[in-house]
Amino acid sequence: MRGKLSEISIAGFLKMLHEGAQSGRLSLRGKDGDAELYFAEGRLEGLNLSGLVSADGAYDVFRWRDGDFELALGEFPPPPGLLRADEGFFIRAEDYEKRWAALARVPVEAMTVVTRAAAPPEAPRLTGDRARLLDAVAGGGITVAELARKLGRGLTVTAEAVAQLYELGAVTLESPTAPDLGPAIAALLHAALDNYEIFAGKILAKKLRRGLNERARQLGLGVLFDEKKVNVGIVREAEVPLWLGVIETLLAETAGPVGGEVAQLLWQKAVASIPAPLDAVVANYRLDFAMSGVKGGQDE
Amino acid sequence: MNKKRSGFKLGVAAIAAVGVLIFLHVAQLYWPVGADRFNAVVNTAMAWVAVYSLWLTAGGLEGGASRRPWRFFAAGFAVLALGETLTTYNRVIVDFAFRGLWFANFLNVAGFLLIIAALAIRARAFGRPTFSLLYIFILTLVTAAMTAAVTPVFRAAIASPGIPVPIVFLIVLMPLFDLAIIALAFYVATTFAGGVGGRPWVSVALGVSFSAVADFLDMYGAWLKAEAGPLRSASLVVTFLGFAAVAWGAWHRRKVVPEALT
Repeated sequence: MRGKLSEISIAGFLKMLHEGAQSGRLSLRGKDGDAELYFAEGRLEGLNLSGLVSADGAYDVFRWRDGDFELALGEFPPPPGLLRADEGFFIRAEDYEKRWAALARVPVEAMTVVTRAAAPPEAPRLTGDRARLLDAVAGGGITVAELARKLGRGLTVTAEAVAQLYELGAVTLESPTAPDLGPAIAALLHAALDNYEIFAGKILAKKLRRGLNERARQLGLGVLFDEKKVNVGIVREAEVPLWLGVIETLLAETAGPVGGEVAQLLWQKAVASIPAPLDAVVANYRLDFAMSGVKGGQDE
Repeated sequence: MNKKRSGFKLGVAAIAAVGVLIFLHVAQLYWPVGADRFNAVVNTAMAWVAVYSLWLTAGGLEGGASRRPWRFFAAGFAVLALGETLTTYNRVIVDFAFRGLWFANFLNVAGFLLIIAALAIRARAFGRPTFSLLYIFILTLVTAAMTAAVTPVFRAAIASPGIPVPIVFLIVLMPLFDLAIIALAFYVATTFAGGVGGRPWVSVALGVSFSAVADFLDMYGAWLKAEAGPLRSASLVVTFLGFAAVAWGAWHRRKVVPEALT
């Protein structure tokens, strides 16, 4: 017997095999891994799981929706050393599956990219686990699976916390297949900084890079500049506001030493060199020089 | 800007400037009284050219805060130019020179204070100070040179019988002002080192340094009783250079710097 995972409830299927005292082997082929479950007269005698496994262990399979299953009835002695399950496994399995079904309201899965929202809610609203999770998100795009690993938590509880943060507006979620705007952001920063160095010289350019690194650290974006190299990494569209925040800092910090008029010229020159597809994204954000405090800066 | 055309203009301006300087020097040596008056008028005119250039630069910048240092600069030089004008008027029209403290001295102090304010505002915009090795070297050299230059003048002035206290105060104050202005101007210039934006400030820093040299030459003439002719000629020439360098720096900031960015 074979079919698609989306057409069955894995927990329900296991419960049926358990209560029917069946013997056989259930093979699951999900997009995040493979699993083989060996049954002998309804008892789960062995479970072999490979692929993306979190602290939830065997229970990770109950979130699988994309993939196939194959059931072969008969005697299939499990290879030695596999996990054996007790009665409680079937009850907890149902619980995990329900929790993932409840998570279907939010577009969250193991490889979903989580990013801090540009304007997160005030800190007092986020306490305990949620605050720790938000700290772990830090700002750069991180997948739910990486988050679970970073925190040493199960994928299910992590996904639930991410969903709560998403509903609070503290994070944004993006499909792992979204385009990477990292090279475009890096090109924009390079252009802005190169023009700045031409105008302001090496000492101020170095100082500006230090200031931007500081700002990037505050936003949890990690190290931006290693010497002169811009280190941006993968940037999803949802993260663009964060990067524009860094660029606004660039504008504000250049406004002091070089003057608002020069900062505007530098910015216009950099924007003119923005590669697609970032030009459309930047145009949508309408960076405002007045908002960046550029006009209030000192002149050179 | 067309590079060929701007190069030609620069060449003509440089030749004209050298011609004027040679004329001023030679005239001062061979026609001392007339040349002294003529040079004073030329210097006063150049002072007002510098004020005009600074004022135009300040007006061409966006936003109140961004043009503030240039406005202070223009105001400072305007006050100095006014003092220069009064002195020149006395020398050329009235043919009279004050021996003691007079109104132009107060204008000088006020002008210096405004220039210090302009440079301090500009330097403050850099945020936390950054001192380059070049800056430390220049500052050490300037401080040492100024100390060496001012000490004999100060000794001679103090030794003069019946010297009024305000004059002593001025003799001490003016070199300190000069040092502060030079220190701030070179701080700004060296912080911009290697960038297009630093070029006007190199001109300004050189300009204020020339003014300081001219001040010392005047003090030497007044207190060390050095030979008046060459010293007076050198002082006027260096003053002219100082005003011209500041005017050039302001013009460069207004015209060349924005063009370099577009």
